[in-house]
Amino acid sequence: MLTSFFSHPLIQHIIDELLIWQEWLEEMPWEIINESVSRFVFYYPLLMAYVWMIGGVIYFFRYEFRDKALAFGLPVLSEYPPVSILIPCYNEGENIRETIEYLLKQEYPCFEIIAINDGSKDNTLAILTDLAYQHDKLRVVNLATNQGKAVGLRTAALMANSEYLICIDGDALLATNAVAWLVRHFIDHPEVGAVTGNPRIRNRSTLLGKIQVGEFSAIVGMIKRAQRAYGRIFTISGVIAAFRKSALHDVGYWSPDMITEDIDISWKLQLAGWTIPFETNALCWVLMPETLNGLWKQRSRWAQGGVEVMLRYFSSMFQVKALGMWPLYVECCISLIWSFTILILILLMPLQYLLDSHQQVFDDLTPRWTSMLLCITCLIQFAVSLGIDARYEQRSGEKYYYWMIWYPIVYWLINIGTAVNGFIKAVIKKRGQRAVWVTEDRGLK
Amino acid sequence: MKDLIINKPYLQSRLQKLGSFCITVISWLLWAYFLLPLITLTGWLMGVKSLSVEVRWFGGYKTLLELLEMYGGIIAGIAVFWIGWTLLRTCWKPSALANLSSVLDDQKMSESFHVNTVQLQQGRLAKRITVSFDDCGRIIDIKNDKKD
Repeated sequence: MLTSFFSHPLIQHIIDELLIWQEWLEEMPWEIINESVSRFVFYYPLLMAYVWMIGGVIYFFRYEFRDKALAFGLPVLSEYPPVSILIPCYNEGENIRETIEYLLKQEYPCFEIIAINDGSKDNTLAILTDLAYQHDKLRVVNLATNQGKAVGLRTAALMANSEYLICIDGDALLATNAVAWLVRHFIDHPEVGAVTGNPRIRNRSTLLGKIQVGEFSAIVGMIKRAQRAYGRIFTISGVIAAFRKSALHDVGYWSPDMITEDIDISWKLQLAGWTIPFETNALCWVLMPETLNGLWKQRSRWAQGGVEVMLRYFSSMFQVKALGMWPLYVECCISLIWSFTILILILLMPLQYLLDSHQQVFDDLTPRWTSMLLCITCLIQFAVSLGIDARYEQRSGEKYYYWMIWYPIVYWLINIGTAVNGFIKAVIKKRGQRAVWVTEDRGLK
Repeated sequence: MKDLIINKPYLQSRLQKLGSFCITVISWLLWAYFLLPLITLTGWLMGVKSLSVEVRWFGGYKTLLELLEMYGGIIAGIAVFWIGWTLLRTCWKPSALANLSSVLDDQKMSESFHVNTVQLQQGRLAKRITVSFDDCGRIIDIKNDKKD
């Protein structure tokens, strides 16, 4: 019976195919592939670390070094045009009073505040209404049903009396001189469509909080500086950004179906030819997650947003105006491939342990000059970035350098997972599906 | 008003404190492990000859010099690219956008959002408005809320 089974033509065909595959696999130059993958995994972050570092230093000397004396004052502008500050809120009852009361301290002479209540289920609307009748500068736009942040911002842009809009989150505290620093870019440069500010972390009670202080002041800030030195940025900071209303109108405002409306609007504006400067003096104090679960959700959302933008604007990338965006596009794609490669290598480790001699697996894990140089590069990167950023927060450098060195271990592992998770979510997402608010972890208070 | 910086480690749960402690210990061990070649190399360069076996184990001094040479070349290349690019950007200014000449007025905004211009202007003057939407997120009504 067994002989007749194996002599069946279909089984024979399958066996032949398997033998061909086996032969093909045996002929593959595995050593070269293995070496190439290892080099990519190792050299990509190393190379990018130096690209960001040198770009960040160039930006610092070109734009920040000369302005040192101005950093904590109010810039003198040729005119002070009216500004509308937009605050989209969803269930912000706990924070919104503090946010608005802080905003009212702005040193800018002419501004209005528009708070958008996006169908909150808590007492946000009652607090906003109460504040609106106490303060002349505050108006409330109440959305009858929950519509998402993008629709909230679109509606507020429509209702705003000014050409310049500043958007902050409902739990963020905007530095009292920030508006003037943001607006100065619009006055002298008509090609500026938006300006991104400098978010700073408020909550620093846990290890994750402390690492994020370093991450935002150093890594995020340095990448943004390097991207600005190049001429394009991947994204504005959704928590603090200023916009020219006519530029928003030109590109069709924020997209309601993109999970991260800030990445989307950055690409829309730059693909249309508008520029986006980074204003390091426009500080905005924000709350960030302080649990692994909160951090995972937040980073997954960011990763998904990035991939959604990559997918949506792929066809637009072939226009002449998009030429400058290619390096950012390619870098994002390579980062994703890197994350997938690391994940595959981690998953294959047990298999390698079973197939290879145990000695070889452990040999691969022993420290070498290369891993030493990677660690030293990491330390140099943190030192340079914290050094550049130190002026915005006194003593942040020495205080957070200690915590920053955990960054690669804690964050790279999380970011690899969230990049893969975000990619899958973006690919399987139904086209045109509206983005909804997510109640994020805001840390210990 | 709360303080600008919130640093209250005592609010952490026991699990959070334990997790932080474990991550800290593991991270220090990993850093020490990966920086071991640096410590060994420093010792060897300072004359501790017994460390020569370890230096060979990490790849050998000659390999390190070759690696440093390669790294130096790559970093110099990146720096040259950046400086060149910066100079190019300094000389080249972006051309003005064609659509800058078009002034954004209420008429254009009303058309874009499919709302009545009068309704829009009234909404802009109101202290509080309630906006209703259809299923696609289009505005269907703007109501001026009066104070209770």
